[in-house]
Amino acid sequence: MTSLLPGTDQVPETTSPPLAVDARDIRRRFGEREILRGVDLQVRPGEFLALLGASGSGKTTLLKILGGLDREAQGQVRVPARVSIAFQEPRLLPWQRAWRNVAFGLRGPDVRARATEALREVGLAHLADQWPKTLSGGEAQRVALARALVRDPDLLLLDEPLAALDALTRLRMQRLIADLCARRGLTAILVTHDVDEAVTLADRAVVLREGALAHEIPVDLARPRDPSGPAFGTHRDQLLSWLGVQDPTTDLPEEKTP
Amino acid sequence: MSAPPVVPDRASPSVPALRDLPLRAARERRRVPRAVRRTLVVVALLVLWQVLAEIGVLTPDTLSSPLDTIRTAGDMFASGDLDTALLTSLQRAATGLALGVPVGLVLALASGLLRLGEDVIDSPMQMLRTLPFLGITPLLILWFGIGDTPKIALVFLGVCFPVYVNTLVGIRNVDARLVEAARTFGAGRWSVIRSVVLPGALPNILVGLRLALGIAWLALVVGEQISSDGGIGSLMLQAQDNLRTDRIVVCLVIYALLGLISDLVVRVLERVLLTWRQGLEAS
Repeated sequence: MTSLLPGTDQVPETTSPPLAVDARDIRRRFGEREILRGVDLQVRPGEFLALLGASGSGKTTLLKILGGLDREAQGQVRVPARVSIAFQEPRLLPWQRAWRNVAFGLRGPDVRARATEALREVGLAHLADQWPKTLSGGEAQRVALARALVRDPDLLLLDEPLAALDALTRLRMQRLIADLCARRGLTAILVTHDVDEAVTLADRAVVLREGALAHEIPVDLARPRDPSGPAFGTHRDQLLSWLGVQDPTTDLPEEKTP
Repeated sequence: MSAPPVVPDRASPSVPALRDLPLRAARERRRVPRAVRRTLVVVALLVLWQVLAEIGVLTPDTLSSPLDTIRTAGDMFASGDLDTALLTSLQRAATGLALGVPVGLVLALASGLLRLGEDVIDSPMQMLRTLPFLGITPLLILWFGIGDTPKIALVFLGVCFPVYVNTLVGIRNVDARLVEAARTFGAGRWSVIRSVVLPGALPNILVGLRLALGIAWLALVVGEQISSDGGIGSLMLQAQDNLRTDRIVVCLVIYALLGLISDLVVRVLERVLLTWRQGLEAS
């Protein structure tokens, strides 16, 4: 789309903008329960999307479908060829040293160099030769992040990768993820329970409820974002109210079994 | 919304009575190291055994004394009886293991990784497993006569099942989430087996191997006492005929040492192959 001059070949209205994810009418049932009842999700290249929802709302199910790990779903899913996932747990192979975990499945002569470079990006080049067992939770999760990044993904799926970390580590990791995504221009989908995390990282947040995308809010705040700012607060409150957490007196929504 | 939130007044706290927790000051008392204590027990038992023999409670017909046993062992080595028997037994055990371990492994892999394999292999194996394999000895003698073959067959049978069962447990216990992650990062079926399933099952495979080594000697003890054709077992059989308890005890000690050495071998294997597990303990 180089010619934007008036009068020259105008882009026909039918041409849709390029998409990194185009999922239409996704349905998934487990036995009697229909977890996803027609989800439509489009993500632009370079966009960071946060996917929120109560537990059991099907966030992880949706992410697995996008990641090609669940082929039992119905609907249409179009994703790029290179999709990487960072899971809630690091899922490192305990019998491989950190750099080999990063390099898992890579081919070519300079595998070690590429793995080390990815580890450097997450600040862990000095731990390349460690066994996973010796890593702290945050370090292991960063190795997992390096493993996802090293294959240069066109789409990065993050399944609550920070949920199990302590609060301080989580804040550092959020910053790291924001940096990496900005520097690499990554397209990412982050599943999270944490509204602050969503507002900190995302360009757009969507809320999954009763099997469909129920709400959507663009987060066009300047980066780096200040969680104490008023605009941040507005977004947070909006998302919280969609998630059914309006004010402290409201009863907690009933926990659904996942 | 409804009524404004009601914040209850803080109830006045009850004042608990405090008590002293007895804390023990670090112990200064010097203790006998555990290794020394353990050794001392063994030495004491041996001394007791020797004393009972000296005062005539244990006659040589019942059980030879430790010192007599050592003397006899020296004689048996000098005459070459023991070397020959040991070599024969070792060869039989090694052959049985060399056949039984791979077969158990391959069957477990086929059963653990392929649905067809499981259907075809697992139920027969589980059925045969319940059979006390030593009970097959009479059949083995009918089939193979005497000589090396029935002994090797017995070791093979004894070894095959623990390897099979433990390997299968290991494969079943591999973390499905690791397999899922590996698939995400582009691993094909073979690659998943090689880099996730086999290493994940390795601790259990080594447990199977350790059991197998123990059972190999057990099978040999039984197998070699069938007939007098070489091996430590037949040496014991001869000693029994000649009422030589000293020679029997020597053979028993040899069996014990063999068991100890095979255990040591597996331990070394575990240390080398499972370094990743010791990450924390080392630091």
